[in-house]
This record gives sequence, structure tokens and C-alpha cells, in this order.
Amino acid sequence: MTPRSDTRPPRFRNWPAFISLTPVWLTALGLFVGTAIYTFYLSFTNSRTMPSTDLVGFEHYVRLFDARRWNTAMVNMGILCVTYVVGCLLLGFLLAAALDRKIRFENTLRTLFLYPQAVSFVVTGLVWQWLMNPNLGIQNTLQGWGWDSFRFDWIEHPETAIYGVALAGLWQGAGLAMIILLAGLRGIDGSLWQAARVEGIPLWRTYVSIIIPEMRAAVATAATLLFMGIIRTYDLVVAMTNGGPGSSTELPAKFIMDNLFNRQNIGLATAGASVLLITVLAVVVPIFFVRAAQQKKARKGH
Amino acid sequence: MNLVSSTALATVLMGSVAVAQDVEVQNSWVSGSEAQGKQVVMDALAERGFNWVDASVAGYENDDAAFMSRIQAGDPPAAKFYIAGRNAADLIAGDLMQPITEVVSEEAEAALPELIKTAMGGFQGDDEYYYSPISVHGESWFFYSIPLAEQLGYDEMPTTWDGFFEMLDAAKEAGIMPLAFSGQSWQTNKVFNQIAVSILGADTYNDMLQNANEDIVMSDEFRQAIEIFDRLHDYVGEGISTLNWNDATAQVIRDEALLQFQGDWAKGEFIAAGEEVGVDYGCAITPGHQDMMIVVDAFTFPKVEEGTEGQMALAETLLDPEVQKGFTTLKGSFPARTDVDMSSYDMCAQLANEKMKANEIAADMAIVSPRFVQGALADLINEFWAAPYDYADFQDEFIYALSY
Repeated sequence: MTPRSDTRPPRFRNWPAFISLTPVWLTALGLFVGTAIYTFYLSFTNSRTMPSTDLVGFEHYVRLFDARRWNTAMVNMGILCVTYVVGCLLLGFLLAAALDRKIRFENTLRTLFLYPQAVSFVVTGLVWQWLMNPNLGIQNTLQGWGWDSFRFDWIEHPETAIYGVALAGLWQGAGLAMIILLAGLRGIDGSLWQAARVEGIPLWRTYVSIIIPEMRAAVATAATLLFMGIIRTYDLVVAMTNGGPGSSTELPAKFIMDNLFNRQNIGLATAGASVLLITVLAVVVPIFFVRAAQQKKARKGH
Repeated sequence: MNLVSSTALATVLMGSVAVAQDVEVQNSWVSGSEAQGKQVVMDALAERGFNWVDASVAGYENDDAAFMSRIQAGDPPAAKFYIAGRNAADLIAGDLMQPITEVVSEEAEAALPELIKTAMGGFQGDDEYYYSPISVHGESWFFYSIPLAEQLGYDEMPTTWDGFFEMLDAAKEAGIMPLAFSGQSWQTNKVFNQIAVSILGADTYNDMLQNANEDIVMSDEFRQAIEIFDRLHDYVGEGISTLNWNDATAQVIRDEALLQFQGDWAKGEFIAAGEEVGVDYGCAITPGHQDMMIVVDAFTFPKVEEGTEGQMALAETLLDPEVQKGFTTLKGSFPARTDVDMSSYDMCAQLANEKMKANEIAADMAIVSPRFVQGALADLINEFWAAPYDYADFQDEFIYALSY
């Protein structure tokens, strides 16, 4: 290589790479940004069975926010973010921390905890539907043994049904959180543990003040994966409750799919999709900026 | 296989295809009885020199999604199974569907009830027919266990709602589950609409749905229908929100529950369980006006570049009284034409046919309302069933959904 200095701007220095990547970039732009824009556009048209170009303003958005079902779906997404994401992280961390204590049968237990992840959401949904069925499930069995006041029929009641779904999701998702957090734990420098032990810091304090802050990246990864899972959750609810009783376990993704395919209502479906996208962006973009700012600060600090 | 024989085989195969022109039919008839019934139509079409090429997808909605993607790709099948009425209305309005008016004979026209003819026009108001109907399902039924009814001292079913609730109370007192009930969305919807038809009467009900008539929704009668629907909560069992309709039917078959509101497709479950109508189970029309809510199985025909003769042949075949008879006997429905000899049908189908001849029929939402209106109404009714609220609010929201 000649040590001649290149004065061109960096993006032109690698022009072969630039040219070869262009089709990929264009495809990606077309597929993600282009279709998102088209979706947004359709939500302002009177598209029903077929896409149309007649603009109707915010008509679909008015219908959308008037629909009890959509509002329930958005609230449910919030409830799942709290119960399912936080629940999976907590349970996953406890499992990971327990496994990390160099216990016996670690491999066996790890496999066991991860097993639910191998089952599809459809199977999980059906099995938990049966478990919570008052005539077949756990409630019936325990009442048969004489515990008459025992209730475990969450999915039968509109007020509790969404927590039943969260529980089934938790059972399935905790294993994934565990494995990611376990990897995070294993990545922590052993000297940190030793230092904490020498200083005589209690175990719980070591976890809370030293280990967990060190695991930020692993926690962020797990949280992101779980969060994305909620946005697209469809199969679990369809298999477990089909959105019922009433609309009590509806989720935005299911609302959109139903309107797109069953109800010949492209306008309302795309309005829902747009609101969902904006909601997600409203949450994700500030986090992104805060993190970028933190990283910049950290780099400057070095 | 050597080259010569494979070429010979290919020639033979191509030859056999060339004899009969293909008619590709998109449908969701995949269950045992549906497939048997479909064979009757296939055979009749073959006699007319055309070959039914089956494109079936399980599930009405899935089939529809497959069909829509083919329409959008510009490669439609020759025919598509639909509930007659609004389902293809957008496609007809978009000039994508072929009218079949020419094959609807005067004789057939005379034998079809007005309501079905309106549905065949797809609510376009252009004097053309776009759907060829083959069979009709009656939906204003309840099916009851005869042993349980006799135990309660009922030889005949009550024809008023007061009498009906007396019977349910008697069942409850005797420790029998009065109502087998599925809390799934489409089931709660069928039951509510069944009650609305019985209270309002067919003509008023049709008027309400077709014209989004607010006065009817705000009437005392409609309110009474909500009350009756709400009152059913006292008579259903536990764990119904995820119960399938046919598992609820099984409760009546096993004589665990007295009765179930259901369309006539429930007969298939009773027959499969070896039960006999009039002996083990009975069918009765919902109390009140005793009008019959119906839904019409039909086919529509997308515009295609070639193969229109095949489409017309199929449209004509479906309207053939003999084909309708053969098909409906196997599927458990009854013919769309009223001039078919009903003597070989069971008493439920005969009764429904009488109602149709007398024009005492109401059209299901699936016929009259666009799919997005159906959906909005379905959500509303299902939410009300899951957690009942103020009736006046329900009426307001019903109007809002109806005027979508």
C-alpha cells in the first residue's frame, strides 16, 4: 500500500463497497421506509376491500380512537410491557443468578428453564387455556381435592384475562431472558467478585450495586427482544383467548390483522398500524438519543 | 421411465385435460359433509362438459385472503365461494365481477325468495345478478335435549319468551344446566341477532340493518332484545369464554344441558353422535315472532379473459334444483330454491323451507352489512356479553357502528 494520504471524503474512499451495497440499501429503503409511508398514506384514504386513492382525512383515526377494542388493545400492550417484560427480566435474572452460583446440575436446569422457548406460542396459549379452564384445569383439580375456594380462571373474566395471557407469556419468555442475562453474568470480570468479597460487601449488595449496573448491555438486549415480542404478539392471544372475553385481551397487532384480512377495512387497519408505529417510535427514539448522548459523553470522558 | 413413454404419458394427460374446459373454483369447503356435497356439484358440472378444478383453503377468512391476493395479482380463479350479499360488493363496484343474469331462468327467478334475489344482486341496484346461490342455512334455531325436556314436563317448546324463561328456571331448579353456550365472538353475535329477529320480526330487523334505521335501534323492542340477551347470563355454565360451539352442542347431546341456540349446522354434530331428530333431540324456532334468520351460500365469478362459458355453466349448475337437493342433503342445509321437493328432508329443514316460502325470513348481517360494519357490531355485542353495561349506551353505540 502506498502511504499516500487520501483527501476525498470518507464515503467516497470505499466506492466499490458503496456501489455494491447500494442495491441492498435501496431495497431496504423501499421495503421498510417505502411501505411504511404507503401504509401511512392508505390510512387517509377510504380503502376498504382494495387500496383506494380517495382521501378522507382523519376519518379512520376518529373511528379508531372511538373503538373500545382499539383502546383496550393499546392499554393491554402497556400492561404487558410492565408485567411481561419486567416479569421476564426479574424472573430471568433470578434464574440466571441462581445458575451462576456454580450449582450442581446447572446444564440440566438451564435446559429445563429454556425448554418453554422451544414451544410455539400457539401451543403455549392452548396449554395455558386448558390450565385456566375452570372445568378442566388446575382450579377443577384443586377443588376436587377439597380446596373449594380455590380460583384459577383468570381468562374467564374480562378484568383478569390479560394477566392470564401475561402469565403464559412469562412462562415462555423467562427462559430467553435467563440465557441472555446468564451470558451477561458470565461476561463479568472475576476480579470484581473478588474485590467485593475482600471488601466484605454483602452478596445482595454486590448484585444490586456492582453486577447489575455492569450488565446494562445484556439487560438492554433482553428487554428489547421481549418488547419487540409484545408489539408483534398475535399467535399467543389467538390461541389462548382469541381476544376474549369481549375485547379484554386484544392487542394492536391482532386488531390490525383482523381489519386487514377479515373485515375488508384497509383504511382502519393502516390507521392502527400507523398509530402503533408512532407509539413505538415515541418510546424508542428518546431512549436512542439518551443512549447516544451517554455514549458520546463516555467517549469524551476517556 | 424412458423418454418415449413419458412423452406418451404427457400427451395422454394433456389430451384428457383438453376434453373438458377447466373451471377453477376457490372455496373453503373442506369438512367431510362439505366435501361430499361439493362432489355432487362437480359431477353435475362434468355432465355439462366442464371440469371443476378445486382450489380450497380451510377457513372462510383464510380462503378470502387467498382469493383477494389473487385478485390483486390479476390472476383470479373462475369462481369464488361467498356468502351472498355484501361480501363481493367492492369487487362488483370495481367492475371486477362477471354478472350471471343470463343463466338465471325465469323459472329459477320465480322459485327464489325476494331476499335471496336482492342478495344475488350484491346490493348494486343495477338489475344484474352476481351471485349464484346453492344452499341456505337457517340460524333462528335452538336445539334441545328431548329426554331433559320430558323430565321437565315439556312436550313442546314454549313460543313466548316468558314461557321460555319459565322453562329455563325449571331446568335450573331441577339442577340441569339450562343453556349450553359458547362465549366466542361469532356465537354471542348469532345469539343476539337471533333474539333481535325474534323480537323485532323479520321485516323490521331487515329494515334496521339495511337502512341503518336509528328509530328501530332506539325502540322499546330493541331494548327488550338487549334485556333478554343480558338475562341469558343467569343460565349459562362456567368456562364458556373459550368453549367451542360444537363442544357446547356436545353438552346437549350428552343430556348435560337443556338447549343451545345455534344455526342448523348443529344437526351435523347430533347426527355424527348417532342421535335422531324428534327422538333424542329437537329443533325449535326462537320464541317471539318465530321468523327465520338465514345465510345464503353462493358463488361469484371474477371477470376472466377466457373461460366465461365455464363460469356460466357453473352458475347454471348451482341453480339446478336437483344439484341443490343433492348438495344440501349432504351438507345439512336446505335449497335456495323454494320449488324443490322437501319430503326427504328432516323436519327442521322442512320448517325452515316453509318459513322461506312464506317470506318470513330475515337476512343475517353477513348478507346485508359490509364486513367492516359487521366487525364493528360484532365487537360491540361481544364486549357487551363479556361485561354488560347500560342499555341506552349500547343502543347509542349500536347506531354508531351501524352507520359506519
